[in-house]
Amino acid sequence: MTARERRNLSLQLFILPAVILIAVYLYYPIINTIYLSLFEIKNFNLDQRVFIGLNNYTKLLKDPTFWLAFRNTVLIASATIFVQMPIAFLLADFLSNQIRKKHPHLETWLLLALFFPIVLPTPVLAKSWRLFFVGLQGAGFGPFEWITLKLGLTNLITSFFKTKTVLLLQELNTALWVVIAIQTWARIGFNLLIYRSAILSITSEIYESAEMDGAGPWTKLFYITTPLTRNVISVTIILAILGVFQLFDMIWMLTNQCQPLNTTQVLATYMYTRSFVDLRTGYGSSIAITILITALVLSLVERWFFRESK
Amino acid sequence: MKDLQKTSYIVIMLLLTITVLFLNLLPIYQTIVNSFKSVDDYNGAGEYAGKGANVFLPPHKWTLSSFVYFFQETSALRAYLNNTIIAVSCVFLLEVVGSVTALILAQYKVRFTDRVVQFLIGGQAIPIVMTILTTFLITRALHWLDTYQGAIIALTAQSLPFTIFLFYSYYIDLPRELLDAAEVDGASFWQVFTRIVLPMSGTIVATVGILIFIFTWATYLIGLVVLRKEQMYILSMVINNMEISLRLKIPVFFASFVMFSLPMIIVARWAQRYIATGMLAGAVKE
Repeated sequence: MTARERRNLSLQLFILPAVILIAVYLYYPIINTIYLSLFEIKNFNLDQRVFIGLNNYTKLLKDPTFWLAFRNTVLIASATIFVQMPIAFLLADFLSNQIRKKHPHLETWLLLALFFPIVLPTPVLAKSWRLFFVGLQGAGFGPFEWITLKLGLTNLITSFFKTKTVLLLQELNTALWVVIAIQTWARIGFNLLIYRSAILSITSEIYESAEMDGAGPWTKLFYITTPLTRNVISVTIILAILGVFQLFDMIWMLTNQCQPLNTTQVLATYMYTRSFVDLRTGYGSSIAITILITALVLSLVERWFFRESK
Repeated sequence: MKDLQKTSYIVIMLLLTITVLFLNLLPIYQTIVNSFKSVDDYNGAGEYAGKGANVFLPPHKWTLSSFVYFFQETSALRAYLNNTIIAVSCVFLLEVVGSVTALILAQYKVRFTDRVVQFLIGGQAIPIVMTILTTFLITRALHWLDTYQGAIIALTAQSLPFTIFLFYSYYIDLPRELLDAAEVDGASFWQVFTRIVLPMSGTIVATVGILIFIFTWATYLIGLVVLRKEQMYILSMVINNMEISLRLKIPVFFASFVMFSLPMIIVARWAQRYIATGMLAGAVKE
């Protein structure tokens, strides 16, 4: 054994901490959760677990709240892909292809003003909007109610949304839509930053020659910018899907544990509710596995889709 | 035709920009206006009786009383300490473990390097939310519930794949000759690491530090699962519980938003370019 081989052997020891941490906290949970999902476990009492095979999964398929949570997650994912990302992309195009050329300083400030919600802690965003819509729970009104009252819009809003009050975040048929709107808004800045630097990396000669041919801003957006940033768009879609399937803090805090009546449950919050509030670990595990599988399948589908059309 | 395109483009873009700006500024406006109000002013009680609840307009009198209340009457100070301990420890651990691991994998031929890299960096694809159940069980088995190390080790493990990825993509481009030359002169691995590699890693160390700080400062779910005693609460948990404990003191609630965000705003303002770099690295990793 040469000195170098001996040294490399000792270097292997130094990568052990990382390997152990990742194995224990990220890979082991997959196996363990699959295992737990085959048992009926109450109050985290692992010693008294009862093997029930795939019963948790068959129960899951008949559980209306699970399907509601699943539908809500899909809705939020769709809003992210079809509303949030186009908005971010349009803004990025506007900033980097129009404003930056004429007013570079203005662009810096606009960019900052447009993306700063992403550097604020999610709990602050969630609770701030909650207070805006709800105010003092059961003890007075919030800014939204105050504004609608001052502007005389109360009747218009309640009849438009068919609700009893203007507390849209607490009404059965509007809570979910408020949540979707806020979640969609919250991550615009993240995609804006990514798209902006992708667009800036396109060489300006392409745009210049298009301009000579008389291309307008929409033409350039659809025939130059979009095709040339397609890889980045594809990656942001994967990131968004993975993110939405893990969405917890925002929904949990915005709707105070998914009130009213579980209407705003998403997969992650439902998993938490079942395992840590109702203390049914086995059932919670089966939801966790659903999250894992759906996220994996969706990102594979997405990757395949973008590869095929290249 | 071209003019029509131009006009419609400008109109739509301006509308979009204004809408997003408005939505961004609304929560900030209400937070600032309400956090500098006294509770009586907000509720329309006490010396402000008869004026009605002042929930959205600027305060009649600007005051710091809500901030004072936040620090004196709630468990906020303790939560600040907990947040700081957890965030700083995570940053430190991740910098050390991440950089050493990435350097060895990127520059030294150890056995199974490629597979180890795949294993470590591939951890990024696992949805962290689904690991939370097992994390609770592991922490309980180690008797680490309600301890700092319980939260710190779990958070460190969760961010490790991303950290290693950032360091790895930086170290893979280091010139091999540089390290070889040092070794010929008899420098050990640690001497190479501390005297040659670390001084060259300023940007990446800063990027990792800032991203991890931002991530751990605002973390919630790990706290919910691991830190269950009130004196171990982190800020996000304190803020979530205020809805019950501070029913009639909404301005204090808003003051807590300012205090919770301030460290993140300072870090972000001071290190804007690192944040952009880090996010991009994460986004274009494939």
